[in-house]
Amino acid sequence: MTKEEIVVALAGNPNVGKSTLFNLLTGLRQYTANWPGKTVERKEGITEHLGYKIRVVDLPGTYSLTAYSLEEVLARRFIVEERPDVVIHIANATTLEKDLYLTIQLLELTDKVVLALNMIDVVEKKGIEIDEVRLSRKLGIPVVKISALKKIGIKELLNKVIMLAEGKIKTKPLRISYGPEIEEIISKLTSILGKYDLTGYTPRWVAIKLLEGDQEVLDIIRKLPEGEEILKSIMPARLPIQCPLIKKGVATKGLTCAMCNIQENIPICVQIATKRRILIKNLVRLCVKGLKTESISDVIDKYVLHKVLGPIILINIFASAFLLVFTAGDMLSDYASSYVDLLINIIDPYLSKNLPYIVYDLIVNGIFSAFSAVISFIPLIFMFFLVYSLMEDSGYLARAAVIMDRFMHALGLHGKAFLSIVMAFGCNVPGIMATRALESRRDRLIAILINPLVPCGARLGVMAFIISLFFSDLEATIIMLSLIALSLGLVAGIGLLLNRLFGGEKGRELIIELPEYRLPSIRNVLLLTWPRVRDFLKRAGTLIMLGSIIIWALYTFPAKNIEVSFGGQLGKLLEPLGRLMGLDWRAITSLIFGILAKEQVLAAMSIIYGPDLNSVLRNSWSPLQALTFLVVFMIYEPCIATIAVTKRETNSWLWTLFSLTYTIVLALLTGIIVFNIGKLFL
Amino acid sequence: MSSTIVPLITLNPGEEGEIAYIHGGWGIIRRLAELGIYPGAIVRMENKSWGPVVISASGVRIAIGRGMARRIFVKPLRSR
Repeated sequence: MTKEEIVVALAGNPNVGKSTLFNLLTGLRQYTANWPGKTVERKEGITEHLGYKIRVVDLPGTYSLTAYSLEEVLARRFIVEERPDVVIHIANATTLEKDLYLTIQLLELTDKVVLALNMIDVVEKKGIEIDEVRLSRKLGIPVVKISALKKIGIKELLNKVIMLAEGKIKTKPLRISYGPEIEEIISKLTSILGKYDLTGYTPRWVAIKLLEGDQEVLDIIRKLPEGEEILKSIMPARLPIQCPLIKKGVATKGLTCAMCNIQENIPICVQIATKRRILIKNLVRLCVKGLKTESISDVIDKYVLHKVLGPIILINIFASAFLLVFTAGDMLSDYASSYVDLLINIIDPYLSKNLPYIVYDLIVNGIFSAFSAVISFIPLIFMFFLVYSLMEDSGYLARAAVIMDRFMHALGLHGKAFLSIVMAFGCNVPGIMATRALESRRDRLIAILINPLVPCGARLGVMAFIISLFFSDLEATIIMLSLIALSLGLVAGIGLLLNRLFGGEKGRELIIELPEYRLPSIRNVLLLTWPRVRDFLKRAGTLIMLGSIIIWALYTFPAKNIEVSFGGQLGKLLEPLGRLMGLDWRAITSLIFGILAKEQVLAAMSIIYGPDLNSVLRNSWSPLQALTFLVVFMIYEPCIATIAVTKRETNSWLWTLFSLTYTIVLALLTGIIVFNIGKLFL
Repeated sequence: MSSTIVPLITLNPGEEGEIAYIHGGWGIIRRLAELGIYPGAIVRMENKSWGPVVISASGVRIAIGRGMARRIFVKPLRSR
């Protein structure tokens, strides 16, 4: 018997426990993808209730439904285009007044909304009472108290969802009246807009969003035959109406509105937002009773955000996170890859006997080594997402962003980008993944692009080895530290440059919500982690495999001899460029193989330069040449896995190519500069 | 009762004020309204020790840059 399917969309602000509810409902029957052509993660899953198969779509977390960010547009397009049977709005009952803003906006878009008040256990512990019956009557939709963490009220929520989908509950959504002056403008617009196809939106909704200056709606209107006329006709309406605050004598005269420069007025978009806010304030006053006492979060924040203690706590937490990911991760990685090696060793003789040499070589040196690399990434990525979820879910990451904001702001970056920089010192793959914490696409792209410049553990290892060949202990230490300083200087420089290029909005400032501290649920963290690891394997794994085969082919054809192979030929072709920084074709060829993985450079060099690498290198390079080599080595794209993750996280080949190209160009330029300045002194 | 209006940043931790006016662009004002900071809302200064200040409004804690805290004007609710 096939079950009837219901589509349910899950909407909610960030930090309300939306993913906890999603995981609770769908368990392991979930999968992640991207919204078509976008970088935003789209999660779907299946659950069953009362004989229905319920497909749950997790909409991106948004604060409202005005086209302020991509997430918001995606969320509302899903609601009007795919017409889910029910939208569950999950709100945090402890911050109800903030969250109802989204409810009100959802109700303007669709009738089929169920409001789930999450964390009801926390609210009750605080002695706050929410009258959900009254709230339900006022909003005109079902309201259910739940706790996704404690699994309270979930069955009732699903009952309501099904009753609403079956039409057994009729909703009567609250309609806001924006006051006579604004309503008059809205009704005029509605009658004009009623004639057109508004891509699924209702005329009243489009009219309101138009007055709010919503970008997507403006674009829709422009495409209409009478678009420009409509826009012209609302221009007088967009002009501000007398400011009620000044009328009431609350605000002083003489303050000038930055947008319209007309004194004593506030723009209509702000009035609309304020109207919604005032309505919500009254709703909360009617339906929520109880004292608000100082919460535990306030007490913790006194220490965590303290001028002196704050940074100390931050350093400790980040250092522990780093150690946890990279010591535990590395240990497990070694374990995993030794298993793979064992496996390869077992089947190796069989393959070499039965396959032509070239196929055998492809499988063992191309595919298996890539496979081993991908496998060794799994524990690292698993540990990283574990730590990441812990930091994010506990509420600490937002505090870290506040503490680091001033410092990161100087680099043209958001405070939340700090985690990605710290992680990158271990490995750029989790480093780039950590940029997921950034909400704005622009900030995130900058953080992804500069990440490869942070020297990862693998690079630092190779660098330390080569430095030790050429310099004494003290010199070596100074050079190592200068190289790290150089790379951080480049991170800052490129960060500021990209910030400028992407139109650094002046006075851009941090606005960040500090959620209540919570003990993350292990089940939830694990459920969040597994699909992400799987996703890495599927997408990045394929690319790593492909890249490895290309590199394998480069040094296998036309003959497996480094001098005549394509890789060697390319190195020779580029020798004139190398000469600008004192490097011969052998060094260049080694660097080309470094694209596969930086730690492979040493292996490549021992093939190219022959065995006994230490003495050969000492004899063939001057200290300055070694230094130049290291500079170039340090700066360009760390490895194929980083490229694959850049592609995954930007979801754009163009930006991936940009990242690869600019790091190579930057590496070569810096190499040339270092060599030529060095020549003057040495 | 005084009805003077002061920038939010001048409130000391623990002090409350009613927002009278926000000086800023559309995007910022709307985003603040979404988070529960709008003319008429009661805000409380929680922490201003390091970089951005932490305020609470409508039951939510929010960290905002100091520059922005200078452009939000409030009517203090407690005698200072």
